Amino acid sequence: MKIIEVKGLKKSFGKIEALKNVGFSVDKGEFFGLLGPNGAGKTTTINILSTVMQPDEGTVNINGFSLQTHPKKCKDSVGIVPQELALYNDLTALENLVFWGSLYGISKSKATEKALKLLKLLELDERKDSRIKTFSGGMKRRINIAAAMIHDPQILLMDEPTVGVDPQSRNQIYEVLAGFIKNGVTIIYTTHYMDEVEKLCNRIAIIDYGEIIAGGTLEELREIAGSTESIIIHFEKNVDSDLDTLQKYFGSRIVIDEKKLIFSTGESTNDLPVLLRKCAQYNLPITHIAIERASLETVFLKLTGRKLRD
Amino acid sequence: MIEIAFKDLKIFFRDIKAVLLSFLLPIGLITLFGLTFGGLTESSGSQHQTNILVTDLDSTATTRDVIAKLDSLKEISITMVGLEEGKDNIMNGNRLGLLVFYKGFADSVENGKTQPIELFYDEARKMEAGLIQYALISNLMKILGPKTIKRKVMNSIRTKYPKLDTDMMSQIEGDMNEQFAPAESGKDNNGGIGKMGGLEITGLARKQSVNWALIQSFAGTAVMMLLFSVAAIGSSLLSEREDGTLKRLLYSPISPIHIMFGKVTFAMVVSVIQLTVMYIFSCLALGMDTAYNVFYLMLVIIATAFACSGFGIFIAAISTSRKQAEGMATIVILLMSAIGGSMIPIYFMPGFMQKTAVISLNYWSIQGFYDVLGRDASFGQFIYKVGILMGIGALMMTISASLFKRNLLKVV
Repeated sequence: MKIIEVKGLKKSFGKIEALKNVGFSVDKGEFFGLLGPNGAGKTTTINILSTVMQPDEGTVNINGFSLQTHPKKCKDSVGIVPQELALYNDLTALENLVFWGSLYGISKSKATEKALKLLKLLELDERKDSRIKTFSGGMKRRINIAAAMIHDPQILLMDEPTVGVDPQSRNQIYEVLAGFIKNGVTIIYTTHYMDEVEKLCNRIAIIDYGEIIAGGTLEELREIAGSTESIIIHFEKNVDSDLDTLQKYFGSRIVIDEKKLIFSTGESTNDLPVLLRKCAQYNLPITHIAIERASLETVFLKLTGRKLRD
Repeated sequence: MIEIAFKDLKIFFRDIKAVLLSFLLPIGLITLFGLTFGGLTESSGSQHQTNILVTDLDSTATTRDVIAKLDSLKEISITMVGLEEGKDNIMNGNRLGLLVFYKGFADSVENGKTQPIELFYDEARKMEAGLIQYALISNLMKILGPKTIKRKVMNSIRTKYPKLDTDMMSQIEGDMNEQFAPAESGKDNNGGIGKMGGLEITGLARKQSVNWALIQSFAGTAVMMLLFSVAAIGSSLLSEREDGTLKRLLYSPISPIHIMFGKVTFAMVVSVIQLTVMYIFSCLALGMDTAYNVFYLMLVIIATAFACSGFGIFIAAISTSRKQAEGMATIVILLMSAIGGSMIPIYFMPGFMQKTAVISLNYWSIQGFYDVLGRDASFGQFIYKVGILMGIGALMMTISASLFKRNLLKVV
């Protein structure tokens, strides 16, 4: 069952076309990743889905309701975890959650009950009466998520929810999100961390220049990109200066990062000997060679021609 | 809406330093202005007593009598000095004025001639000297006027009608003495000739002994400080935008207008509390007159709070950042307070400035407090001031609401 259906979304800011023709759908209970470099249109898409921005064209249906005609019903169905730590530092964790719950018409007693459950789930129940300003960055991130879940939404929109979070807290967050998914919550997730998307998302849409350029599971994206494998070669010295020479021959399938070269390919057995011959020709001493399944980063690079943070 | 106001109140009262500053600063300023305007220790029944130096170069019974009468006045106290010492004191800025009775003063009075008397004053205190000059002229006229006039009339009759016989002259002089006697003795209470040259001034108010200076200090300071408080509350909306909480508020089902009115409600509650605390403090600690009608007082407080809240939100609505709002608010508040009578009482200002004052929110609020705390004005007489304050608030909120809808969406 499609819980989110987006068709033909267009949005311009003056002469800048932020969204050209965005369309995708998300199934109920799915963990959907929206990937794209800065300025690709991710945040504009999230803003439209969260009803705070109107599209110029296109339709959005959330949980069976049109965003244009039933914005309140859509808002009730959606919880949003913004990139900012949108919390009141002088209120306690519990007070913050109860306040955000009250905006959805939840009574104080019910909001308190729900807040305590969420705090327990996020392992913050012992700090429920501490003010947010005394929390660490990771703890604040977790409360930020709890605030979005206080009204029991069926859909969770998460915009870079783990920025600046330590690995331990990130793992805690992943576990909590897995729990939400198990309970039937649908999650749309944007992040810069490729490993997060690989680990968490069932399906991924790659957005660039305001358009969805590819979508599907990671395996499907590998097929689309034609790079199911990566040849990784480590050199003795920094080979950044040789990038242009190698790219003239192999095109944009090659990425060099100091002493490491990553080559995206669908046929490593054919491409590896050619690559090794070229390295020998340019006198690049190799220390280590590996062939791996293509990572999302490699796929992304292949599809967009740029790194995620470009 | 209520949830937002309640949340903000909780945050506000949790910041003890901010709360203390919100109340202690206005209290300090009210006390300071009260002292400055001389309102803390005096009621309207008493006045400042100005010390005047006096040099008596005539040294006659007449001059001693005049000096004694001046010294008995409640607004003037006399210190006798020599001429040079007195002039030195004036030039050194130690004293305001030196009144010199020159030789021949008594003769001049007896003969109905211009009296040789002079007032020296400190140039640096010209305005103050003007006031004391008025008081001296007025009182000297009371003391010497009847005698001088009587002598002048008698001299004039003698000059113009030299052939009048002695009996007739004695009869005229007797009649004159009879007419001027009450004024000369200071017992003329019927507005007779004894009042000549001295304009009797009587304050009119329904209440007696009103401490106007203190009401001015309370009303002027409280409104000015309230404007600063609500401007800060308005700016907090811009802080929420910067912190990202405003974006999250917009994600929720409440509308942007509800968010704005949540802030207005918060500003209203804080304003009413602040004005009430200022009023209670001014009454209990400084001895300000209490309102004759608590309901009327509450109306003025609520109307002031409403207008000020409208101002705070308006500043937030037209600003694009917290810093911009704070800068703009400071300039506008100081300007409104200066022309509206918060800093300097309206009656000290020139005519055109007094007319300009009506464009200021401060003016209407201060006048409203004057009505309920001093003038004991009837409902009909003061309600239009409440209406104007409510109108100012409503106008600012309406403009803010339309700007708000548009500007708020720039958050995303």
